[in-house]
Order: sequence, then structure tokens, then C-alpha cells
Amino acid sequence: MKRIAYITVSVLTLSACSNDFLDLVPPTSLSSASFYQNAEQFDQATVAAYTNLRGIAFMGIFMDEMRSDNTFFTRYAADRGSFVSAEAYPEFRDNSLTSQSPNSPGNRYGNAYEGISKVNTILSRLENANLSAEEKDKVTGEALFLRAFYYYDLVQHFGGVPLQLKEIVVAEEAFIPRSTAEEVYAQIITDLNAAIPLLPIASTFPQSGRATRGAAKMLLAYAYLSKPTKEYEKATAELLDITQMNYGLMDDYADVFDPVHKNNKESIFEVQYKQGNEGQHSDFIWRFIPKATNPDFILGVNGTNARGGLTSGGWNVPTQEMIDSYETGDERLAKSIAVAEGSVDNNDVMTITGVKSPVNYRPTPGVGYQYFIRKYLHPPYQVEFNTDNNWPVFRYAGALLLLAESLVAQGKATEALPYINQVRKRANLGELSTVTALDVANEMRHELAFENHRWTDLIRTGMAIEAIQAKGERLKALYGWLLPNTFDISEDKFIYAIPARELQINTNLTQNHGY
Amino acid sequence: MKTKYCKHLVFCVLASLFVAISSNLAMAQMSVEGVVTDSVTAAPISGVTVTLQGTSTSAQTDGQGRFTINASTGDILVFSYVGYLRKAVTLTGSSLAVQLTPGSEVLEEVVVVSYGTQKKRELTGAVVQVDATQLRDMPVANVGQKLQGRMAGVQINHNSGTPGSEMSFRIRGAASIGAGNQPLIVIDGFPSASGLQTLSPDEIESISVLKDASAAALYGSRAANGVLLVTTKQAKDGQQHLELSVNMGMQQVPQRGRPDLMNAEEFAQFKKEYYEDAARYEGYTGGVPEVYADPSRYAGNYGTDWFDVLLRDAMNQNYNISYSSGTTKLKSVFNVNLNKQNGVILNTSDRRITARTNNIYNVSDRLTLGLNLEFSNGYNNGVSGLDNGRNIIQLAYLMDPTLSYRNEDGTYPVSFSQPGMFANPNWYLVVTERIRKARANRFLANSYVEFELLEGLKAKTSFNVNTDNGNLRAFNPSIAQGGLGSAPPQLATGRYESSGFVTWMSENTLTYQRSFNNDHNIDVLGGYTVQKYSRENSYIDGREFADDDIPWISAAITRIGNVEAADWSLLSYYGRLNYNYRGKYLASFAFRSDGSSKFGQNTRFGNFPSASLGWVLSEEPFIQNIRQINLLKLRLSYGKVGNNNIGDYTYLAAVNSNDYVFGNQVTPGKSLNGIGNSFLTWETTEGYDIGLDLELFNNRLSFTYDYYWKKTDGLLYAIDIPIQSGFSSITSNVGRFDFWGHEFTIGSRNLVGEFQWTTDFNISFDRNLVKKLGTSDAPIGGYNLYWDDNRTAVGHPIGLFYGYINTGVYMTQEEFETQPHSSTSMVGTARFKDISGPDGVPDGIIDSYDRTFIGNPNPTFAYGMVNTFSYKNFDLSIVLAGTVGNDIADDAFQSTENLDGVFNVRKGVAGRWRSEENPGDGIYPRTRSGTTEDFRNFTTRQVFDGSYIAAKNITLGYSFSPKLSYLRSIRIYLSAQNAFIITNYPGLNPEAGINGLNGLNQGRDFVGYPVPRVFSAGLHIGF
Repeated sequence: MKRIAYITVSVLTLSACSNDFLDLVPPTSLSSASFYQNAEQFDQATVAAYTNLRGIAFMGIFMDEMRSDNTFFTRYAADRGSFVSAEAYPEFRDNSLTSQSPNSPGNRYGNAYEGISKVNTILSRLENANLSAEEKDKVTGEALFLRAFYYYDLVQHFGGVPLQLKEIVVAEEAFIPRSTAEEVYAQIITDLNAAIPLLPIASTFPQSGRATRGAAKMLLAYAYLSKPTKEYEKATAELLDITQMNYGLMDDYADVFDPVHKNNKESIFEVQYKQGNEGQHSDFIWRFIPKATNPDFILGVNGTNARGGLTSGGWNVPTQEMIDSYETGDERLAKSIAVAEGSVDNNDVMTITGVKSPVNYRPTPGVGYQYFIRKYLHPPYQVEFNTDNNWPVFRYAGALLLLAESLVAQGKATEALPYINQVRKRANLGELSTVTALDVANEMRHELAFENHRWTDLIRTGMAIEAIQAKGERLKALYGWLLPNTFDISEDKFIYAIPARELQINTNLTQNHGY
Repeated sequence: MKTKYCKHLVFCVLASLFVAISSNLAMAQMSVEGVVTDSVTAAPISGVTVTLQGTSTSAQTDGQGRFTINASTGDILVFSYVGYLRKAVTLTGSSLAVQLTPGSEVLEEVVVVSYGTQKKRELTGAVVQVDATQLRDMPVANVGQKLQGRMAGVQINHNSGTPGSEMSFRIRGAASIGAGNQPLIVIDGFPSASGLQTLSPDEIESISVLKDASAAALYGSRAANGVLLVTTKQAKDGQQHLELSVNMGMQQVPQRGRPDLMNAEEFAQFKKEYYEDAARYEGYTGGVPEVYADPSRYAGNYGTDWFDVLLRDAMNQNYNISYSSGTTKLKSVFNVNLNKQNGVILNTSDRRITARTNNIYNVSDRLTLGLNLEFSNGYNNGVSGLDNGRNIIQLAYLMDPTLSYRNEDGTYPVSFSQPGMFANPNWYLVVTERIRKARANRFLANSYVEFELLEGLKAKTSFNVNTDNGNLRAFNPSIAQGGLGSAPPQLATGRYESSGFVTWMSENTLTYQRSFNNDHNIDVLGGYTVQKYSRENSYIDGREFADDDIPWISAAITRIGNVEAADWSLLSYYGRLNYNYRGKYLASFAFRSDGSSKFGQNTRFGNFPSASLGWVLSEEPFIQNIRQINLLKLRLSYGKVGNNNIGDYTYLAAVNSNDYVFGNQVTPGKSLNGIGNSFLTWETTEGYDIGLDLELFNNRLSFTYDYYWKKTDGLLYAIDIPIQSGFSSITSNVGRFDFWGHEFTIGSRNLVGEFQWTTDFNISFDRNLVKKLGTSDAPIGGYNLYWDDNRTAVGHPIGLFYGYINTGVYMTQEEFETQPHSSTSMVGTARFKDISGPDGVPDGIIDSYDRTFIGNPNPTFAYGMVNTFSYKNFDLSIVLAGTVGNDIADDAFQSTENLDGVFNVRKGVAGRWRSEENPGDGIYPRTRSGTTEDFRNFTTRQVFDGSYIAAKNITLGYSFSPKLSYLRSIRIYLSAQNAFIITNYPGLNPEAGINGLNGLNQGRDFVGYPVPRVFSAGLHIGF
């Protein structure tokens, strides 16, 4: 008996002695202690820092496109639930709660900071990492570009935000107050000027989709033109550099958005997606077509987009005024927009019976119709809400028009002509012989339609208040359900409210004026 | 740290050496025989423990109440048995007859405590024990239900009636933010992981609850929420019993508290008016849809009660066979139980088979071996998406009552799409056609070897294992797919999960018990324990099924899965010293040191000391003279315990996959999932307890009082931090809650004699206060408009309700213009109180600054009362329990008062504002599109007084005294579980909780699975 007890006890004890019984690490995942060691891991960390671009592409639909005069949405009477916070953006009813609501695109603020935090961790850990100078430069260039991109998104949409520039190791470091918009722009410009020499110039097409020197210069030009004191000469210089790179316009406007031509020679930067089971797919078109009982009529596969909330169709619907604003003969109209015809029920859900061109469209008596964006439509798809389309961020056509805008603003309209005419020519429009700021803005509106640029373009060019007031009048005449206080726009509304949660947690923050 | 493990080796080697030493001090004594009977019924009592006072010599009575023991004249024999008052008799001859008096609150009882048992009289901590005999005949599958209302300071709620679900426990208001508040469950000394649902209540002998830190300190880092010690039945010496019991019951959902929604005609009228008002105010031109144009066509026809469609009357059954046999060499119990419970919602049920055998082998006077084995097989049939939340039950009753779930030809519609309402599946089909079958095999074993090295010195080594392996198969066929706003048919989906864990514990203890001169009594314990837990989970999701024919994922075109594994380990040293002087002055000191893998390297070991003192005043001469006082004891204790429930690797920031696409290829990306914290450690709860035990009038009246105060410090939780960090929270030890309370327990034998009546009453007053939260005292919760009702903020009790104060409706344009309003207000919309603004003062605008504390889910007090009556062979017991002063937030109102015409609504909506001429009753606002959201946000309209009193159980029994020699007893009984509830709360279940008794989210009724009323009948036969 003694023997048995002794053996039992000893065996149990030895097993405890023989290994460090309490040192356990997760068997199925890596931990921070073992990561950030080599070039491959730093590259994986960099890859992850790109993923927040997708949030920006998605949120831009509601906060950059639908808020502008280009689009609105089809109201779904059966669901007046929490997603009305997404409706609040185009109706100018948004506040500090809509901009934090988890079901709304308002978590843009947190999404951008998540990207910034990934970049800051990379940059902080890189300082002591055992990598070659060449490897470090590659990581640094991409990381700084992404940080600038995320801060540019923040400063444009929320004004001067807190500047977090280091990895946060203790929570206290996350309680810093807001910087001014000037300070944020200064940081963006510093980061981009540091990144540009480290980034490669796109030389072969299709490109991989990683950040390039062209993308950094484009972002820098936007920053110069958007900051409170604009710097036209510097912007012009960056944009002229881009014209000396290897970019060019695609022959057919429609090809620019075709997944077959991802990252083509016209692409300066785009958000990458891939259809399939890996969770890398996009789903924009499912939200853009009308809510329908038969989305397969358009998309080739059935699925349910006839429901409330953000996982439905009927968002980002081109307004009649948008369609009417295209010049006669502009090829981009039919390539950007289509009309769905069919029966429409009490909830504005369609049963689609035909798809037509919006060019000279006349409604068929007794048949309902709804416009939708067709730029991103490349059926047939295999699975619902699973598409292959990338989201364009910067395009060479946009660079040419931004260059034209910058030149016109400096009184160099003649110098701007070749750039704007290059874009018009591809759209099958006649060349201009003189060009005004309004001409450039209209060209940009149609060339970059539904690419989440219009709202910030309107603000940058000083046309926002007028455009939105006019849109409000038109829509209120059309929709009795719009409340009297909708479309109440002022300069305060150029930026969004800091989410209420942030103000409550970090009492060093202040709210934007007017919220 | 390695030296720490290896100290253990030395310890054990020494222990083994003691094995070699033996001594045997036998004394010549006479053999005493006797018989023990019940003082009331004169029936012999079997199983009574007869102890020779001051020694470890003992015997037990047999089936005829007889015993034999070696003793000398003048010795004192002590007779004790559960349910009877303890009695001491001085021996005057070689035979004696003893009568024991029944009594439920017997201070002389032995109580199960941490690592052993203790005489209740000598207890110095706050421990309450309930024995199985008090819990018989309740037709429930989980022992937690039996304990409701019986113990002061122990709140047990039945949040959900889902068959097979666990109850939630909360001891002394325990609340943690991130680390949970469920007590540690220790089954036969083993902190196992399978939970109470594994056990059949029929196997349980007793349950002890260790309430204060001193009583629980020996469980160290896991004891902060209190400890539940479950002891299973062992055979008694000299007994041989075969017992059969059968129980069958019928469950029904009571009518009280069902949602008070419109019938078909009322709803059609509401929808008709909705469209008329849209035409009048919003330029709507579509006319009233045909189905609502003439509400009178539904007159006299209630329409479909969509709640009722999902319900049924359901059977439950329980069968138990137990055989126990006790000889001096072997005590053995064998118990088999089958419990089957059909759910009151269609297509739900739970079946559990348990088999247990407990064995004690007395190899010699010194060596004892023990082995308890339990196997339990569970089979649960459920429906995905049924319980708590805006799930099937709620979505169903929000349906248009003019619809019918079944066509006239007996077929079923697959979906519905009413004008202005969400497209929805047919919820009847969803409930009946979805498959969700979970199977679990659980195994629990306790084995030990105990050796008496010297008189009073025992070494015990035990090894315990608990495994749990389960799988789950789910399939949603295309016709039962979808949900709110997404009507089927849609592609079917399926899932197959498997999960399993194993936890083992090796424990080695030395105990020494000794009495010096009968004055100084000591009891020393030292021990060393290691425990390890490992789990693995995996799942495969199947998508793109061609059809519904094969409800297994093998038929899916796409199958995606994942696997996850985790483990933790715990290594502990502990010791305890109990000392008493003549049973009058009592002292106990305990200590545990725990090392846990769950915490950062810098803070891996924690120490948990405790001390407690007792003074039995009734042993003092100045009290002894007062004949009415049988016992008067004062207790004082202090202790420190921990809570380590924070996930397994929280101190590490994990690296998660975060892929992207480059060159049209998926490219692996990785990012941190948080900010690591190498200083992360347990939260500690430190507190004291002052108690008083009093027994009066020949033990007819007993009274226990406890006051406790404790603070939980270094709260483990995910502190909200600014999102500018890239993360929304960091798990840290920052925060402090204080708790204090008063507990009273009164036991009274009101009537003795032929008609007996006893009353046990307990009441507890628990209070708490938040002292610190996170780095900046940022409140927890209450940030979002929907379903984020509780806010925990410094300076307030935990989890208060936080929302707007609804003040009615702007009845006239003038009211609207002269009163504060929000961005969507207009005449006829809901009105709210202007509490504050950005500058801290009311600003005339209703916005997020106007949310405030609007309710308190913490009860003023909770109470329970058990009355038992017996007359001749009849017995009756009534268990009442309830709370007073707590508020409940009914989250269903967010939907049932939705004025957008998208759901069925409460009948009161008919009296809403329609125009200044027809302004309604001032409660319900207008239906104007875009203005309705304010009204259904979380406001005072959704907060109700949750005070209630419930008859948890009423049982009437009759015991036969069979004249057959082989038949010992027959008992039949009728029982009503949840017989009635008296409350002003309009919902179904005042114990509902979206998140159990979690302090942060308590008091929220979000349409849980209804708790049925059960009428049952049972039969118990003893051979």
C-alpha cells in the first residue's frame, strides 16, 4: 500500500516538475510575444493594415456619396429600425449617436484608428527589429502611406482628431486630446513625404494592389488641396509627377471597373477584394440594385436583398437630377447607371422584369422603375453578397481632373485644357476650348460618379451648401415622409460628429461645433 | 517556481514514510446495544450515527433502528441524524432506548465545508446547507430549481425555461464585470467543469453554500463568487435499501404575462388608420391596402395568436432507481436516473440519463479507498435562435394576426409579406422544421486513498477526472431559413460542431485531529493540488445545399470549418487550522496560494488568507442559567478570495489572421487583437462577516443573522478605452465594487405533536456601490440607443437602467412649440424630460444628454419561506420566494410599441395621437414616419416594478406504512411547480434575464423561453 501511494504521488508530482506547469500559450494561434520578429511577419502585419481600407470604401457609400447630390436611397417602409441612422446621413439628421451606432457606417472613426494602430505598432516594433535596411524601408513606405491615408480620412470627416503616432502599450496613452486640422494635415504631409521615396513606381500592369509612389503623390495632392490653407503649386507639382509615371486611361470607361481588369494602368490605388469563401469578397452591387424579390434577374444568382438594414438593396440610388446632369452623348451615363423596370409593392420592393438604359429613358405606363448604379455590375455571381469587384480609390482620370482643378484655381485654365479634354474624349464628349472651375467639377462629378468622391469634392470646391439645399427641395417635393428639418445644411455639417461614446470615455475630447 | 512544485515531492515522500509507522491503542470495553426511534411516530430510525463522545468510535443504526457500540459506563453517546435534533446520552448500562426529536434546523448537524465536514455548532464562517430530504418531490431536472427561496443571500433565478438549461446563481450580490458571478461548483470535492445540469437531483445528498470569504478561502482564486459544495449520496453502515421513484408531470405556460397585443380586427383597424394618416400628413397616395381596407371582415375572429402557435402542453418524466448497501467493509450506492422533459415550445426537449456508483472500501481500520463514478448522457433537441433576444418567439408574436400559419388545405405557407411589414418566414415552420440536436457524454470520477498514519493523522490522496464530449448537428432547411425581413425559401444551411474538454485534479492532503484533555481541540489540514483543463472545439459550416433532402452537411457543396483549443492550469498549496477550547471559543485560520496559467508572468501567484472566530455564549455560566436559550453563538470572520474567470490567455495580445488580397490572391495578414497586459491578475474580494446564531425554547425557534461587508478590488474587465487606441477595450484590473448586506434566517417548529407545522423564513438585504471604474471612471454600458439599457457608473449601484424619461405626447402645436424637443419631434410625437445639455444644464433640446438613471434592477430585499405541515400520514409543503423593490426592463416594448406599422402592437396603441382634435390618451404618439424612433428608444415606459412573490412549489404527499416485511415505505404525492406568481410586472417571468444574473445586465426581460407551470404526480417505493 505504501508503495502504491508513493508511486502514485511521485508520478503526479514528477509530471508537474518536469515541465513548467503554468506556462501555457494558445495552441491554435500566435501571440504578440512571438510575432514581429522577421521580414515575413512584418509584411503580414502590413498586409493586415490594408484591411481597414475596406471599411472606408463601405462607409463612404453612406457618408461620401449618399450625402452628396448624386444619390439617395429607396425607403423601405417595413423597416424603420436602427439602420435609419444610415438614412440620417443623406437626410442630414445625423448626430453623435448615429456616428457611433454599430449598425451604421458611423464606426468609420474607429475603423480608421484601427488601421492607424496597426501601422503604429509596425513602426514602433520596427525600430528594434532585426531587419535589413532595405526590408525596413519597404515596410516603412507602405506603413506611412497607410497612416496618412487613414488620417486624411479622419480629418476630412471629423476635423482635427487626436494624433496617435506610437504603439499603445498602456491604456493611458490613448487619452490624448484633439489636434487641430492643420496639425493633422501637417502630419499627413510629413508621412507622405517620408513614404514617397521609399515606395515603388508602378511599372507593370496589372499591379499587385499595394501602395505605390503614385498613390502617395495623389493623396498628397488631395491633402494640399483640402487643407484649410490650400497649396495649389505643391499639389500641381505632385500631380504633374503622376502624369510622368506609367499610367494611362483605359480605352473603354466600363473596363476600368471590370474585375477582369483589376489594378489596370488607369488604377492608382484601389481597395482589393476577391470572391470566394475566404471572406475577401465585396458585395457593393447587392446593396445598389433595388430591393427585389428576384435579384437574380440582374445578378444571375438569387438571394435576399429585399429586407431592411444595410444588408439589403436600394442604397446609393442615383437621383433624377444626377441622370439629367449628364451631357448629351456622355457614354458614361449608360455605363454608370441602369434602370430596373417591374412591379413595385407597398414596401417599394420590386419584382424586376427588365433592365434598361437611362439614356432618354421614358417610364413605361403602368410599370414601376428604379435607377441603380451599374458601374460595379459584372454578373453572373455565384453566391449572394459575394462579388469580385474592387473599389476604386484613386484613378488616373481623377488625377488629370484634380490637376485641372488645381490649375484652374491658379488662373491657369489654358494649361488645364489638355488634361480635362483627355478625360472628355474617352467619354465621347467634345473638347472644351475654355474651362471654368464649374466645368472641372461637373466633369469630375460624372467621371468619378459613385466612387465616394462627390461629397468631399463639393466641400473642397465650395459648392456643397447650394447643391444640398437644391437636392433637399427636390426630394421634399417628391417624398412627403421627409421631415421638415431634413437637409438642414450649414458649414457645421461639412464634418461629422465625434461619436458620443468617445466623448464620454475620453473627457479630453470636445465635440464638433453644431452637434 | 520549480522549487515550489518540488517542495511537494518532499512533502509527499514524508507522507509516505508515515505509512510505515503504525500504532494501535486498543482498549477493553463492553458492548452496548440499543434502539433509536422517532419521538413522534415511534418508528425506528435507520442510519443514525452513534458516536462515543471525544473519540472517533461510532456506529450506525440498522433498518430496525438497532445499533451496537463498544463503550464504558459513564461515557457519553451522541446520536445524530439528518432531520433530527442531536442528542447526547450518558451511558448507565449495557442497553438503552433513545428517542430522537425531528427538527429541520438542527445546529448539531454536521455541515460540509471546504475540504471536510464540521459540526454546525463549531462553524465560524457563513455556511448554509440544504439536505436532500428537504428537497424531495419537486419535479425538476436541475437541483438549482429546488434550492430557490431556501437560503438567505443566495439568489437563484430561472431565466429561461429552455429544457436542459442551467439556472443562474448569485451569492451575496456577487458581481464582477468581466469575470462572471457564478459560484464555483464543487462536486464531491472536485471543482469540475460540467455544471449542475450533469447531476440528477436524485443523487444528491446535500448542498452547502460557502458565502463568506473565510468559509470559501480554501478555494482561493476561484471563490470570490461563493462556492457550492455538492455531496452525492453514500451508503450508510448496516443498511440495504432499494428505492424506486417515478414522477410524471404536465407543463403549461401560464396566461398571466403574455404579450397584450392586438387581435386581427384591431390590428387591421390600426393599419388602416396608419395609411389614412400617411395620406393626410405625408402625401401618401397608395391608398389603404386591400387586406386592411375593411377591418370589420375580421370581426369576432381573434385571428392567429402567434405566441400560442409555438406553444404546447408538454410532459416531463423522471424515473430513478437506487440501491445502497453498507457493510463494514464496503459501502456502495448505485443510482440510475432517466429524466425527460419536453419543452413547452414545439420541437424542444431534453433527455438525460445518469448512472452513478459511489463506493467506500474499508480495507483495514486505517486504510480507506473511495471511488465515485458518474456517467451522464444528455440529448437536447432545440431550435436555433429561440431564446432571449429579438428571436423566434418575439418575431412570431409580432406577426400580423390576420395571417394564418396554416392553409385551409392543411399545408403551410412558407413566408408572409404584408403591406408595410417585414417579409417573414412562417415561424411555425421555422420552429418545427429546424434541426438542432446536441448530444453530450459526461464522465465524472472521484477516487481517493485515505490512510490513518497515527491516531488522528490522516493522509489522503485523490485523483479526479471530468470529461465532457459533445456534438451538435444543426440544419435549417430552405423553408425554415431566414428571419426578420428575409423570407424563405433561401438556401439551406447546416452545421456540425464537436467539442470536448477534460479536466483532472490531483490532490494530496494531510489532516490531524486531536483533542487535548477534552479542552483543546485542534483540526489541522495541509494540502497540495494541481488541476489542468484542456478543451478542443471544432465546427464545420455547410452551405449551398442542393435541396432539403439530406439534413447533414455532407450534402453541402461548400463546407468551411475551424478548430480551436485552449487550456489552463492551476497549482495550489493550502492549509487550515481549526481550534476550539471546550467547544466554547472557536478559531479557524486558512490560507491558500494559487498559481494560475491565466495571468501574466509578473503576477502569477496569489495568496488568499482568512481567519474567523466564534464564541458560543450559551456555554458560559451566565447564559447557561437561562433555560430558554439552547444556543447563542457569535461569529466574526475575515478573508480574501479571488476570481480568475477571464478567459485563458487574456494577458497575451493574440495575433489574429487579418488577410487581404494582392495580385488577386489571398495574402496572409496578421494583427494584434488587443493590448496585452503582463500584469493581469485575479480580482480579489476581501471582506468580513459578523454573525449570530440563536436557538430558543428547546430548539423550537432558531435564528441566524449575518452582516457582511466586502469589496471587490482589481476588477477584471475589459475597460472601455478610447477607440483612438485602435481598440475599444483593454482587460485590466482596475475597478472596485463594495457590497454589504444583512441576512436573517428564522426556523420555527410552530406545532409539534400529531399535527406538525414548521416554518423556515429567510430574507436578505444586499447592497452594492461602484467605487472605481477603469482609468477615467468611464461608465460601462448605456451608450447605444437600443438594448443597451444598463449603465454601471461610479457612485451608483451596479447596472442601473439608463434612458430617457417619457412624459407623454405633445398634444397640441402650442405644447410642441413651448417645450423642449428633439430633432424629429413634432406635434403628436413622444415627449421627454430635458435633463441636461452639453454644458451640464437643460438646453431645451432632447438628445443624448437627456438620458439619465431611470430604474434599479437590484432588489431592496429578497426572501423565501418554506412551510411544511404534517398530519398522520399526510404532509404538505409550500415554498414561496420573491423579491421586493427591483425594476425590470422589458425590452419587448421596443418592438411591441413600434408605431411604424411593421409589427403587431399592444392594444393601447389604438388610443394614440392622430390629430389635435383626436389626440388620444396622451400615452401613445402619432405614426408619422421618421418621428417614431424616439418613442421606442429605452425610456421609462419600458421600466417596471419587478417585485414578486412566487409559489415555487406546493407538494401534498401521503405515506403508507406497509405491513409487508420487504416493503419499507410507499409514498405518493402531487406537486405543483411554479404554482402561481403575484406581481405587478406585466411580463411573463419576473426572473427573466438576458444574461442570467450578471450584475451589469441584470433585470432585462428580452423574451426568454417561457418558464412553465408544472403539475405532477409521483410515487416513491422503498424496499
